[in-house]
Amino acid sequence: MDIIYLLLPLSLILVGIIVAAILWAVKSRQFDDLEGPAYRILMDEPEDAAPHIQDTQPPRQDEL
Amino acid sequence: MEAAECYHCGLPVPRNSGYGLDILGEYRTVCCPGCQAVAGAIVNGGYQSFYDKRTTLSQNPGAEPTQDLDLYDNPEILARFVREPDAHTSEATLTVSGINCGACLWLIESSLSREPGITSVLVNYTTRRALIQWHTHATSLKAVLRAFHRIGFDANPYEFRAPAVALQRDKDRQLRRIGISGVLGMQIMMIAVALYFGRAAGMAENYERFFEWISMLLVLPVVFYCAQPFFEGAWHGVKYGQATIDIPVTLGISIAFLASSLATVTGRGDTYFEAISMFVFLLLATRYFELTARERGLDAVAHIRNRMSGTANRVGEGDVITKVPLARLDVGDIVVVGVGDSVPVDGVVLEGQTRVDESIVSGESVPIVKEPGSEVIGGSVNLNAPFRIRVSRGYGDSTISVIARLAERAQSAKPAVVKLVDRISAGFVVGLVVISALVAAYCWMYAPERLVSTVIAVLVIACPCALSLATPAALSASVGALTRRGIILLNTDALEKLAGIKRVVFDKTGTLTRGRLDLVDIQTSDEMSRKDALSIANALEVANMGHPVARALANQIEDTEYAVAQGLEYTAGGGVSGVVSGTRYRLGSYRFTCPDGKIAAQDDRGVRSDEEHSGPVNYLADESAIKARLLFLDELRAGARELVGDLKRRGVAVSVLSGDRTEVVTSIANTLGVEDHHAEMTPQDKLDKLDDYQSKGDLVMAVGDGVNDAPLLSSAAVGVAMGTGADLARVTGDVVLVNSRLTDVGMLLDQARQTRMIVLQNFAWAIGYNILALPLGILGLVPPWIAVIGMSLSSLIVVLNALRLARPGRNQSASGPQGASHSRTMTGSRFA
Repeated sequence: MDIIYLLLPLSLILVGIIVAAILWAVKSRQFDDLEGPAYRILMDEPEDAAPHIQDTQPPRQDEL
Repeated sequence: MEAAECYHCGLPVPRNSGYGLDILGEYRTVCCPGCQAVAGAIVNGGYQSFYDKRTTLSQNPGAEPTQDLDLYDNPEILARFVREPDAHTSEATLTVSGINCGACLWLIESSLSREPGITSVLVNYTTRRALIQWHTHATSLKAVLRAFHRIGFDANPYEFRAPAVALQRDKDRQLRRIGISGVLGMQIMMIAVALYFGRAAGMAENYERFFEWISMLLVLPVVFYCAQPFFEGAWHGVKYGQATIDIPVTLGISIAFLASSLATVTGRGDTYFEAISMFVFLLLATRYFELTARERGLDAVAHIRNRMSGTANRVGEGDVITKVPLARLDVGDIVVVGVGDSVPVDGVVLEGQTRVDESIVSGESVPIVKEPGSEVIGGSVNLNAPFRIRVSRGYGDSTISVIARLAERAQSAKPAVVKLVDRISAGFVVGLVVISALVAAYCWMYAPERLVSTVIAVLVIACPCALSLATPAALSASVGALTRRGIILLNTDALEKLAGIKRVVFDKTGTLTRGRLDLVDIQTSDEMSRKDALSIANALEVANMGHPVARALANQIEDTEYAVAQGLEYTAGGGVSGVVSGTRYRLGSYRFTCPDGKIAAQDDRGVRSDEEHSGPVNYLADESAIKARLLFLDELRAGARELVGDLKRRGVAVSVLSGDRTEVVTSIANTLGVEDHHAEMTPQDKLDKLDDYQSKGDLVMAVGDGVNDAPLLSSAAVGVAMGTGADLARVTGDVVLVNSRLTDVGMLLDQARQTRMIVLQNFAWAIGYNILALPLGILGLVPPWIAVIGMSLSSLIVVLNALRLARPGRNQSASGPQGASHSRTMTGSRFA
């Protein structure tokens, strides 16, 4: 049973990682919109996009 | 005839509107140029599958954005909304109205991100806000807002005011606390399970110590970081002599922590680390729900505020007129008010003579003459001629912004019930602390071995958390459900009063009818044909399309060619006169068309009198005689009949108080089955009648358009205003029906009744639980961990019960789609 002396501290490291993950999630605003992603994943890219719209795509960062 | 519905927004399509386009392989009619433009933009952009994907109809876009977008050319205003993360990028947060389903999200994100210059579009579906980034030199905020309007959404820049920023920070902090206490709590519980079984099976002493030390280590952040808000709350309570719920919570946590730590260090006694972490986690979670509900409320107010920001035309040196934001107007500034504009702030007229409509502010619907020297109220509308005013009160003090402030205050004020509950639970808290002290003293003398566990159990199990959650949870769930249906409560107390409403009073105009006229008959004298009469009347009105009469006439004109009128002159409240093919005609009320009685004598030449007609009547006269009578009817608003029937079934009395002619009111009342109706009432008569009802002990709900009926609405127990989006900021009353759907009144009463029921249930449960649990705790029959579970379960039951109000229940869904289909058949019918 002495293995417990190793496993329990190891689990503490795991806890530390999870806490860090939560702090990151709050900081990067993962909890802001809990409904939108559910819809977003169901919507495809517009297939029938008219070509003239694509001509007016925004200039890229490196072009400016 | 049943009116066709607009494919885009679902509003009825006017006859011969001629608007329509091919969408998804079929020709679809739309109701107005606004919808035509939006649907066209969506199809041309390649997004017509939006119509396939959406699950609800879109909002009517209107021809122009609700705000004057030129406002955002002004750098001072821009600076309030636009942030610049780096030299080439600008970003702004916008509140977007009209997002109803996932397809809207898709449409906005995919079409906006293809606008030139826009680099990133992120829509938050929960808050209905969009974060937009763009190249500073490639496009502008104004263009972004235009792009939103082009695809049918109304976007307003969102200003991060101090309360919103503070709330966001508060929320983040709470989320971190919940997360940490949850994760650490789980770990502690895992060890606790090992300890329970280990002790029962005879665990070696060294393992038991090790487990306890690890648990103590893990609980440190829970107590010193996560539980901090409770300590602060308790300290605050002690300092100001308020018995807050945080006091027993803090006592419970501290005693449990100190006793457990002592036991861990000395190796004697029990530990309660798992109880501490569970307690903290569950309490934090319930508080977070409460905070979320509050944030929704603040959002509603932010919308109102956004709609109010505008500009004024300030006259500077050398008569140069500049547009300035209202907030920048100072006392003494000179401002020009154009025809049709609203007066920006309170002021005194310097030059010009005109009539203004003050109904928005004072409820007085008769236009008032203003001359140099007279005072004008901010928010009133200029009807006749441009004039200049000297500002006498700044924007912050002006009448209109007072209303927005009232709405804000209503959001932050605690309803009376909640205050009562707070007092009850404060009494409970004091009692609880006293009882715990007595229990501690008793145990100290007679049973020292169970002192700590009993005191903790008493403090935790009898903590009146469920009690203090019972009402606010139900109220915020209910308010949330109503807000999502477009019913905004400006005053949360109203919900409680609504449950006891005994009589509903309608103000006829604009409440039961649509204010949209139909021309049903033209009666002419012998010399004039009906066609000519229509043509001349239309020519006189054609320039005045905002008026219901003009629209009714235009609907009837079939030819594209009609006569043209010259030299038009308008008389407010009277009518219009103008020259058509050489003859001067007058069109309007009887008094206006024959002002000196000279013509009246010749009235009978083929033109019958108007006694038997139940709708508005207009006369057409030349300089010598009345030539024609035009008979109009006002359509009943959708759902009016259902609502009256519904109210009667509930045993709520229905009354109609109206300023209209007796025939009109009687006809409407008979159609709807309302026995108690009163016509030709002045606003004062209406108020007297209302007082009469209320003095008999009836709680009265007044339903009006919120603009003309302001005094009536504010003196009724509950005032319900039917408001369309644009004048939302201007209405008075306790409740606003944003969608102007009459059936919402029934829904509101249902919701109020259910809310009251749920609050009573919650109360019964919470009080019953505490009364039952306290003796068990005192007797020492409950270990701390069971106390924690009991307390949490009790709170959870209360919150879940309250959440039933947020979900569209059976009643609501029945009155929803079904009611809507009813009202559609109603749209075409008339009360004649």
